[in-house]
Amino acid sequence: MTTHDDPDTLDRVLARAAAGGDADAAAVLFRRHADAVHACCYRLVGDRDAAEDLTQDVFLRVLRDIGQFRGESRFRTWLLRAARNRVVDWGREHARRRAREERMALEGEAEAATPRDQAGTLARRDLVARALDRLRPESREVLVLARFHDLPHAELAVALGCTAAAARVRLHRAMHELREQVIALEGGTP
Amino acid sequence: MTCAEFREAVLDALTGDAPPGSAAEVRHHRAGCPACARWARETEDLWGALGSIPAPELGDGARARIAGRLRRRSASPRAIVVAAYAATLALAFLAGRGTGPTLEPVSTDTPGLAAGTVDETASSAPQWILLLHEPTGAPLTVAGTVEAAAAVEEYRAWAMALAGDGRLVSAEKLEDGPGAWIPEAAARPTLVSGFFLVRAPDRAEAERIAAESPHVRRGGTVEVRRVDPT
Repeated sequence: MTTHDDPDTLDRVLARAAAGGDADAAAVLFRRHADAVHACCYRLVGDRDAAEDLTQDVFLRVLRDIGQFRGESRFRTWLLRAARNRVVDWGREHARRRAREERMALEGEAEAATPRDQAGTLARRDLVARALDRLRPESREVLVLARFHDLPHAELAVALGCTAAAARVRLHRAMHELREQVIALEGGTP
Repeated sequence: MTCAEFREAVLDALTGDAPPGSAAEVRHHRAGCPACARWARETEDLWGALGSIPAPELGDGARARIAGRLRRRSASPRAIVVAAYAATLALAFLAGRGTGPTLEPVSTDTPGLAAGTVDETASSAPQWILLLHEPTGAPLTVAGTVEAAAAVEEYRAWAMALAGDGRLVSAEKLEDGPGAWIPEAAARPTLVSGFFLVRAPDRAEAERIAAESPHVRRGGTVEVRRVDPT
């Protein structure tokens, strides 16, 4: 028997139904992608409350404009593009605040439940997280989309609104910047 | 391959965008250039550490609040205007063909409903086929009637719930009317009107899903059989 384990196909079907006013389809799309959108927003703004508000904004806008989704990219990529754009707008209105406190609290919770032999790994992760915080927004967003949402160059291009070649250059540059920030933090440079 | 090309290739490989055939060259350069080998190790470590940075989950309260807001927004005048398409859409879901006057076309090999993998447990569970039997030998409802539209709505909501949980693999409604029997049979079994392919960890759960189906509620019978994993 042939099976159809293709989440992207289901997303396209659901998106068509939601575009036709099907509230159940819209609700399923939200359930399927809420965590990804929220995680993306959180990693870009570093603020838990703001990430929740942004997640709501993203879904309200996406479902309002869902008729514009033509299925030329994965629905999730289209959604992440909307999230990224909303965060850019948000960034114009708000400084990046409370990022470090939020992250430290979160990692503190994880650390409390982690065996001592993983302390080195956690320290390394904290260092990289701090380096990520110090990047320019343009570099942070490309790393978040590529690393946490597994977008290859072609889909990064859709999410960032640029060409695949440009997305590749941005990603490589961002990795070099991240590496420099890590080295700076290891060396005690403020 | 130069050192600069090697480093570009390492970064491309991390994102899964390495061109085919480049792996051998990368391995060769890595083996012969200690500085690049060290750079690659550090970069791969950095990529790994980056991926382990946590993000908080969307809380249940926020999830419910946003879902409620979306539902209220969906119940807009526009939704009412297009409500006439609802039954067509629902039939399209069950029949596997997304058609409708305002909808973009889809390829003819588009599956009916294909579920995503919302959680790992659901995505790795065994598959079970739920065969929908019509005990009377005829469809439970007559296409085009109000009762049929209500039935479609009921099936659609059930399928959506399964899909949302990552339990639905696919679903198809078979064309109404008798099928061909090869070879011709004197005593014909019951009519099978469609199927749902679902994931469930065990038979008990698969049977529970079947028992909650609208097909059973509407007087039909569901045959539950595990898909042979071999």
